[in-house]
Amino acid sequence: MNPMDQLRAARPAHLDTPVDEATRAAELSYAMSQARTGRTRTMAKPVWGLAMAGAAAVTAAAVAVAVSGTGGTTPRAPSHVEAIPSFTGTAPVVRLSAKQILLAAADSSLKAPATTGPYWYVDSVIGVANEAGTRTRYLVHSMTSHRLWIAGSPERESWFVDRNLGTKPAKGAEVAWAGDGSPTKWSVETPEPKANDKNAVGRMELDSTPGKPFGNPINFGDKVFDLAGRNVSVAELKALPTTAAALKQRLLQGYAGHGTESGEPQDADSWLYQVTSGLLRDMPVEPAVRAAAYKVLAGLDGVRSLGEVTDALGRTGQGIARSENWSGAGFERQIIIDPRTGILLTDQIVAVRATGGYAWAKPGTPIWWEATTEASWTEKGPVKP
Amino acid sequence: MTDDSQRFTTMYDECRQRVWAYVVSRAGRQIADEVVSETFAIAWRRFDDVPDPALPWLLGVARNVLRDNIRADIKRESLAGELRAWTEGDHAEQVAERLAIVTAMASLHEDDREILILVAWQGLTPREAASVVGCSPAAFRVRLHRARKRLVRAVDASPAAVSRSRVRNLSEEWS
Repeated sequence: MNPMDQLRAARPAHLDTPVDEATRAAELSYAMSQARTGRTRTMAKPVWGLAMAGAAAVTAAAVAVAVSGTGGTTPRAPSHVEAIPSFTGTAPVVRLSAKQILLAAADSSLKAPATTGPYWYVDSVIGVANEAGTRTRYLVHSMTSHRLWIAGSPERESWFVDRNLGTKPAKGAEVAWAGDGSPTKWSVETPEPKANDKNAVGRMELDSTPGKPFGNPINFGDKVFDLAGRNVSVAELKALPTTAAALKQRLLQGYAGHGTESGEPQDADSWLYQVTSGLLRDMPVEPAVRAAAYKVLAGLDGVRSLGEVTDALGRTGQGIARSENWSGAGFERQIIIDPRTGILLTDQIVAVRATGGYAWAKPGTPIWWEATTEASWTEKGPVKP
Repeated sequence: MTDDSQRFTTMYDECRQRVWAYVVSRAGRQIADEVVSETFAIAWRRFDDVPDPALPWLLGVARNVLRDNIRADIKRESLAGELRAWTEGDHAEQVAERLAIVTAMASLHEDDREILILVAWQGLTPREAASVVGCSPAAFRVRLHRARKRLVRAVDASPAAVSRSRVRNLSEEWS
């Protein structure tokens, strides 16, 4: 035998190990979640390219979610929810289904590098859109920086620190704002639906001047997050089930037929979508729990893929949407995720066919969002104001 | 499933094992899935550019991913484990000749080993292998000739087995 034949014969047998089915599915999902290049039939852009870049200016700003957390960020609890058909059958050809993207994110979550440290640190920006102006009408964005230091051990203090980053005209609204005399303060109507009048409004004063940081210890014993309507400790979060079925069952124990922040009725799937997204957004859970959470989302009816979208901080990710209905208005809740890392970049509520107090919000306008820039264990303790 | 995703899946099923084997033989199992996953992600993004047959193109992409996306220390560690696996196992059942040649293979410089992997273990033609490493077929033949010579020399020089520590040291030439 010549050396090359010998070498061929000596090929290590393990090089022929076939791929297992789970890896195959994950790799195909991940691959096809990528945007195509060099062709006209690219992934569909969202209808709402609109105006979010104003928030990019606050990238450096802070912070995370107060202890009332997961559901507290919802503007209003849904009043009712329609049955939503699955949209996957009508999605554009090169767009992956929501389920495929969510399963790819689940797979990536398992591979995410672990972080360590005494504090779970969350840094995010919360934005709210309003229509403002006296001579002209335009969108303004009010941003709040949120930071959260959750001690891994109840022996240490957990803190939240918020800072009002001020209100500014949305990107694209500058001309109208100038036409209004470039005001730096606004008084806006804000929907405050009442039981007997869903279109009732209140008034809110907005100011372009950022505020001072404000913070406090989170002092609920060892409870640091609101998960599924119940306050939980870090230890309880770490002990969450690692299979989708068990996690879903566990979360649904907190479901009582209404929203997390109000007594308004909310159906179980809509509630679960919100609660599970909140867990993925900022809670210190094991990689296997994150993977299970993405699988819970993948198993919900009515989730659909938006393709590649850009969040308020200018980051791109895969958009997943699910219709919501509250305040007599049509909205959808969107999460923007990076399926390569399993990170949830942004959670937001976007107008689809808004009416009543939100009639000014054109289809595709995000009216509330939370963009998370960091959620990891760290050595550094709270920066107290 | 759309035509493209169907075609892509077919390509994946035809080539995935070969791409994985290439990455494993060059850098070990520890990082192989990651490199393979990224390779097919790039293949989907650039699906219009993928030639037929796709394998040499995919190997070239995997090669770049391996070079650019994986940290050197992780590569070193993964490769060290792989090279150990070539020469380990139940030696009583190992044919002495096989042990000698994989030991020699493990001792070669990374560039030589890659050339030989492409030709002997991937079964590529010199033209295909040249496209993977990004040189002309003529240049590739020269490199293959030299790699073969060094392999033979290493077989002659090597004891029947290589200690684990030696393999570990050899693998550190990668970086």
